[in-house]
Parts: sequence; C-alpha cells; structure tokens
Amino acid sequence: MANYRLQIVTHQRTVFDEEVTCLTMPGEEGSFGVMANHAPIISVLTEGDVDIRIGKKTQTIWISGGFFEMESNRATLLTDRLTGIDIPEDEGE
Amino acid sequence: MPENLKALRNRIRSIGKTKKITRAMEMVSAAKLRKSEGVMKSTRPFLHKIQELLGRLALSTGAQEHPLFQRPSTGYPVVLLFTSDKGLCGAFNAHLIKRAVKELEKDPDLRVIAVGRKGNDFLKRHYPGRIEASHVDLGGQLDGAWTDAMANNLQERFRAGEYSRIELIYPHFISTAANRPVMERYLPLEPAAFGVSEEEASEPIDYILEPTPERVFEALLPRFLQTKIYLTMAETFTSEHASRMMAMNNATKNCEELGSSLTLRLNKARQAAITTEIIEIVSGAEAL
Repeated sequence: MANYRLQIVTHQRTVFDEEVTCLTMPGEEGSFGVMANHAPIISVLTEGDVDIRIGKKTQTIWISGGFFEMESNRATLLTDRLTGIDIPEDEGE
Repeated sequence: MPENLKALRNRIRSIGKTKKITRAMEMVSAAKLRKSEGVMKSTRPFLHKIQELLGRLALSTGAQEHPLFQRPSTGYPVVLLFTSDKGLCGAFNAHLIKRAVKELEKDPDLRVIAVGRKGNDFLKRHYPGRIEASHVDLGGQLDGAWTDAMANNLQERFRAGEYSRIELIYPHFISTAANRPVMERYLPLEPAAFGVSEEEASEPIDYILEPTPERVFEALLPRFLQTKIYLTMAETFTSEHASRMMAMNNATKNCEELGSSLTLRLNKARQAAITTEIIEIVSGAEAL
C-alpha cells in the first residue's frame, strides 16, 4: 500500500517524521482518516486519539488538538501537547 | 620607594577574585544559553510550519478579508521592545534601545510596550509619556502561559481598534557571537511576510478546509500569533545569555592580562627594592 510522509510537530520539537500508511484523527466534525494521495486538506483537530498506521502496525497517540495539513503526500500535524510517543529528552539539561 | 608593594599585591588579589566571578558568570550563561537555544531551535520549525500553512491558505482563499489582515482606521501604533532584565551583557540592551529610539523619534504617535527591565528603565527616564505597558522581572524563564496571554491581549486590542499597528523589536539570534536587533511586523498580518515563493503564488493549492475556511482561520491565526511571541521571547533570552557569555569571557581575559602585567610590575618593584637594600648595606659596610 502507498505510504506518505508525516511530520508531527509541537512547539517544542518535531516528535515524529516517518512514512505512514494511514492516519485517523479527531476532526471538529468527527473522526476521519487520511491515506496516501489524498487531496490537499487543512483541518482543525480537537482533543482526542490519533491512530497512526504504518504497514500493518498501528500506534495510538493522544493530542490536545491542533491542525492537520496535507499536500502532495506530505503531511504535517501541528499540536500543542501529545502523549504516546517517546519524546527524546533534552540533552545536557 | 618607586612602587607601593602592598598596594600592588592588593590589586593583584582583587583582580584574581574578579576573574573568578566573571568566569563563573560565563559558565552559568553558557549553561543557560544551551538550554534556551534548544527551546528556540525547536520552536522555529513549528512557527515556520504554521507560517507556511497560513501563507498558502492566504493565497487559496479570501483570507485577506480577515480583520487581522486589515489595518484599522483608529488607534495608534505600538512597538514591543524586548530587552533583558539584568545587565552585564555588553552592548546587548543598548543596541535594542537605540533601535527603539529611532522609531520613537520617527513617529510621535508611537507607544512602547516594554518587555524586560532594562528597556523599561530607559524609557521611564527618557520617554516617560510613551510607555504603553511594562512587563519586567520575567526571571529569564520562558513561560508559555505568559506569552499566550500576551499574544491574546495584543490581538484583542488590535481587533478592538485600539492599536493600529503592532511591531516587535527584538534581538534576532544569529550565533553565539552575533545577534542583530530587528523590527518585525506583528499585526496586521502581511501575506508577503509569510515567505510564499512566487512559484507557489502563481499556482495556489486548492485546499479542502475542514470544517469551514473561517474556522480554520480562527483556529490557526491565534496559534500563529502566540507562537510568534513565544519564539521572540526565546530569541531574546538566547541572545541575552550569548551576549553575557561573550561579555564575561572578555572580562575574564582582561583580568588575566591585567593580572599578568601587574605581577610583572610587582616583581620589578620587588627586585628594585632588594637592589636598593643591598646597595645600602654594601655602602654602609664600606663606610666602616
């Protein structure tokens, strides 16, 4: 199945930058999924769970709301806070 | 006696102590610099992403009708002057203040929101009537809640027609050795400032906006403005620590130089004193 590139960015750091197969997100008017070759879209997200599917594996993270943008198979998810991804600690704190 | 040995020794000792202090301050600043530079570098991509989004969006829809893109006919312009709370960081604050003074002289209606004690103190002395608000004692800590509140407040006042234009004067961090005071437009938004290339401008992407274009704008714009203030603060703190580190590094070097030249003088003086004493003893013995 076709993949596309997803970046998840918080205002602290880029926490995720990989090829994904499908992303399911909480939109303001209900949950929706995006696969590769989707038409350009910008969507406002609410608080809730995001399912990231890579091949046959699914990983679920929680976000506090944010934005999703996708254009020519490059997707960006902007959010304030999230849990569920191991965020590398700052070095030398 | 040509030189006072005791006074020289005292000076050398006191310079040695000063050197210890400046070196310690340099190390503290270096640690703080690393930390806030990290925050700054990670916030930059987030802001750029939002900016990119807004830029493309502004082209593809009738975004420019939005009130945050319009210049209100009422109100007066304000500028936010970001400076440090503490001194001992070289010409850091002086450069920023100079930039602000230039603007103040150019536009008699312009008022200043001082963020940071040094800028506020200067304005209180020289332009007391031009201060719109003061925010001091931020403690060198980046506080997301504070910057968000600040951004929301500015936005509300702008929308209410109280401010006609908002600019930011802050030190743009280039490297540890260099930062440049810059003035940037905050509101009204200028699509040109979003950095959209001409290529993109000629072929706007036809986005699906969920749930509605208005909602996307209402959600995206405040976030952009909040992040902008957050990043500006991060740049200010990072530049401040970098400037202080450099200033303290120079001070330490000066102490070393001064110390070694004083030690040389001390040794010469001691030598001279000994020589004089020997001559005295020898001539005393000869006289017998």
